[in-house]
Amino acid sequence: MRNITNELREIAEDLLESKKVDVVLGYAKGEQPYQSVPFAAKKKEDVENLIFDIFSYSSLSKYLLDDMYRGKKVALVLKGCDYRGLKIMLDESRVDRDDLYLIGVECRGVLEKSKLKKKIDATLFETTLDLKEDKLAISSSKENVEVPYEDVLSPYCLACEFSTPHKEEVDIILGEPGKMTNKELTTDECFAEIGQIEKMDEEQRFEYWKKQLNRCKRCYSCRNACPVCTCRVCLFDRENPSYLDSDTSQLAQHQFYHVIRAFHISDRCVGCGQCSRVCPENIPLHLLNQKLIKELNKFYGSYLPGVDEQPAPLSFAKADDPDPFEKEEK
Amino acid sequence: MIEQNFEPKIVAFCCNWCSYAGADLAGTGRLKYPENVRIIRVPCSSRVEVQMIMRAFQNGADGVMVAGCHPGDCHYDTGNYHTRRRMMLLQSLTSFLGMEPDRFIVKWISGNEAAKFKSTVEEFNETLKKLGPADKVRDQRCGI
Ligand code: SF4
Ligand code: SF4
Ligand code: SF4
Repeated sequence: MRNITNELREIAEDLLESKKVDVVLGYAKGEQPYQSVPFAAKKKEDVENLIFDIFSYSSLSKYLLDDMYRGKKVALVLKGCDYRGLKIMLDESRVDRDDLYLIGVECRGVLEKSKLKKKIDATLFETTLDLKEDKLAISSSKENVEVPYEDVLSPYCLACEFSTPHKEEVDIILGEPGKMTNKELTTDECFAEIGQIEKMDEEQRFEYWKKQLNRCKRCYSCRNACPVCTCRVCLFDRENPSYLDSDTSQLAQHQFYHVIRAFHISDRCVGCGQCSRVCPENIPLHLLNQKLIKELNKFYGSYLPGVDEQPAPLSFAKADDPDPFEKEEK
Repeated sequence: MIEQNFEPKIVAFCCNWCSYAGADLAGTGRLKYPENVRIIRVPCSSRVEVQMIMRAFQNGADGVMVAGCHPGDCHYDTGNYHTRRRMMLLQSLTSFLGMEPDRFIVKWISGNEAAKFKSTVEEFNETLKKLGPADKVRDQRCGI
């Protein structure tokens, strides 16, 4: 990963010096251990802060919608899933390709800190990571453990089918193709919890989600972090009608929020996993999105948002679609 | 716990061209159907957004029905195909969340199917009576 960081800095310096772009959007080291945060490099001196690593989670494309970047030339660092999110915005004419310089990276997946924490007794502050060929070595003053990557990678990355942006669509690609793990897992295996929830009876499912959703603080981080949740005026911010208020004591309001959020991005989700990652309450939001993707694929054929050129499954409908509602009459 | 004499509240979104006409015909033909159904007329079943359905449950409905023209008969050609895709997805999501999917039905009822309108509402009413009040999806502050 280090080589990506170095390459990135060179490119960024070049772009800024030659005034090809006004700003390079990438990542810098955060204050927490193993935290990479979005960073805007605007001048030569900023460039040395840029990094790219296995904790460079967030998708940066949504910043382009911010007034701050309107009309500016912006260079953007993109993993595969980030590119998919941007592609949807490009297709919807939300941003202008001519204003952008796209720096694609060969992504090998990102590590989930929550999974990492479960592997070791010490806090992340006390640990160092050594990225070995096929394992991750975690060491602290207390213990040293080696874990296979499939245990600590994001489930989305394990299931990822598009880890590098299309070469023809971006201006440059950094890094080398490759994978952290050779273990081939099916999507169902990566999201095994979905199968477990489906097997529960209705009452158990209700109780499971009640426990999860009732923790929601309605902070909207999951919505804000999502690269494909890009409406100009969000339904939840509308004042007339105002669908939700700030009271978080009502399960019904949580249900409303989560059903609508998942539904609205059902055929747009690019599988970056950021929604669950940013949730302060660790609510497994990805299970809702992934469940919907599974249903859409089952009934209308597989479709990768931001990759496949055909229209999204909820943007059209056909006469011979399955009809689950009027079985008895047929 | 199911209350005695529980009368479920049903919200029925009916498309203007078929199902609303069907309900209207049931009325003019003096067919008796449960009066606890509140009909909301919409231009097309595909006008019904997911948030409208969720909102109905939050604020007092025990059951929600979306009714449109039979597939192939949509006044706008393809509206009800869209309804079908969306509602199917909504139903799998609410079922995944354990939110009693039986409280939500989608029916195709044409303008001359007054009898079907009547029987659909009657059946739905019976189902809802058995299920009882929709406490699991109700905003307890709504005053119902
Ligand atoms: S889903 Fe994971 S592996 Fe795929 S591009 Fe995104 S971060 Fe990389
Ligand atoms: S719903 Fe979650 S996983 Fe899907 S694109 Fe949005 S943030 Fe990423
Ligand atoms: S990030 Fe978590 S707590 Fe915040 S609104 Fe989303 S689900 Fe709720």
